[in-house]
Amino acid sequence: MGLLRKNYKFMSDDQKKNFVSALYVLKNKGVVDNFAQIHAKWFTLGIHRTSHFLPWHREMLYRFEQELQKVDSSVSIPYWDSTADNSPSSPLWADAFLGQFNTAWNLKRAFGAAQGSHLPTLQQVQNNHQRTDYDLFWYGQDAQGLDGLEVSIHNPPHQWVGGVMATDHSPQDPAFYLHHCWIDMLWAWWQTWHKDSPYVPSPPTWRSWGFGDPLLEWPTHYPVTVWDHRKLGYRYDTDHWLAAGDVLNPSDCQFSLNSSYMLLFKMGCLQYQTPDQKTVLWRSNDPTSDTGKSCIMQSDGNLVIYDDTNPNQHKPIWASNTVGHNNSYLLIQQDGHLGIYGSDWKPFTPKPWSVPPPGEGRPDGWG
Amino acid sequence: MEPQRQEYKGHTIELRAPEGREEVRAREGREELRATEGREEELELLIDNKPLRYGQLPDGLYVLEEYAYDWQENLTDLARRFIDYRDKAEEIRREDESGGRE
Repeated sequence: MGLLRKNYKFMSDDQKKNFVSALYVLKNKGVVDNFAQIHAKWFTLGIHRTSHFLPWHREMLYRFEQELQKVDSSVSIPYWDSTADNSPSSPLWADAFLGQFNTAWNLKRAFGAAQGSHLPTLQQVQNNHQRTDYDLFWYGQDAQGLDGLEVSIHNPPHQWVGGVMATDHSPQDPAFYLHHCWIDMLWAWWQTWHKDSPYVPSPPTWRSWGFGDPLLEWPTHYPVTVWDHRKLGYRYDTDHWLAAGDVLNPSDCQFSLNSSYMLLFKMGCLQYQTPDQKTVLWRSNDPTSDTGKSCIMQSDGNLVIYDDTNPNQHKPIWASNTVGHNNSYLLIQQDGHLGIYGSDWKPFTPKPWSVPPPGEGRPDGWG
Repeated sequence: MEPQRQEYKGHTIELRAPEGREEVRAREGREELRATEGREEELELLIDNKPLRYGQLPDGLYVLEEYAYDWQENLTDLARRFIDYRDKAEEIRREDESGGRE
């Protein structure tokens, strides 16, 4: 079952509380400070300005998330999209969420203090996303002299937050994890679009940075072991598909690859809609309450909403009725098609169930 | 890089030869940021006579421990940028405290 990492904006109040509580537990156990020490230890020794930058931080986040999971198995790391959420008055920095840590952990944040401090723009992210080679994506300068992800998109939020977040001990600020989760998501998103683009190692300095070279602090792990984030057991809300065993809990969502469509599980039903939530294209069933509801993509190919309010009953309240299409995927296509696809990513013929794009009528197999 | 001393916005930036590499390491108790094999003999960076830890990334860019995400080719340029940042950050924190904001 894949753990879902999503934009913090889609976290419920309970999910935020659980995340915050788990952070306090890890702080008290010394885990937060230990991760910050590890980051500082390797700061100039290959985790920045080498091709290990993205793999090393993916491994680090994965390990920190495992620590969170030991505290509360419902918790995953959310992400902060700093192109959209770019104000100190954002709910991200509210006392009920990350704001409280500034005083509690003496983080000395000073938003916008760094020279020329500004957060990355959506245009920057989109332009960087078009780069087809791994080394250009994370590092290289383009024809206009613009830097890749690490300098132009990763560095500015560290500087913009300031205080501890701007130091080599930045993982002492929980904002580090939300920011790096977003960076990791951008990498995963880029990998989906450029799936045939291989890892390109940095030129060797005093170490080699190849696909099979150790991730420094964790010598039995390598870029190759973290290349596919799904194999690490987590997914992003931007992944645009659900695989067998993936679960949507209340307020969870998945986006199409171009972010034009969104499948949201809320009020005990699936809602297929535009991301601005203004237009609902389809709804699985009448809204009820969130309590005890979950939606699972089963290994038998059936997408089912269960009501577990009564612990003695595992009661289905809606299903796509696509049993028999084993290990298939629920896919949100860029053109708006939502449906069950085979393990080869091709649609079944006839389609067992699907929701057409806007303006193309009612879902197939939906009465 | 040569030893030098300059004034910047009322602050003194100094690059000077270390008292002795081993002594510096022993005193600072941490060498990771300085572990730059094959690089030139390092100078101490001081702002207002207080040492500031710095290092070099694999491609040679300078980085400060306290200001770690602004990477520059010139260490004194970086020191000036750090002074600007630190002064601005202190100003923002003072405003936040006086305004009751977190």
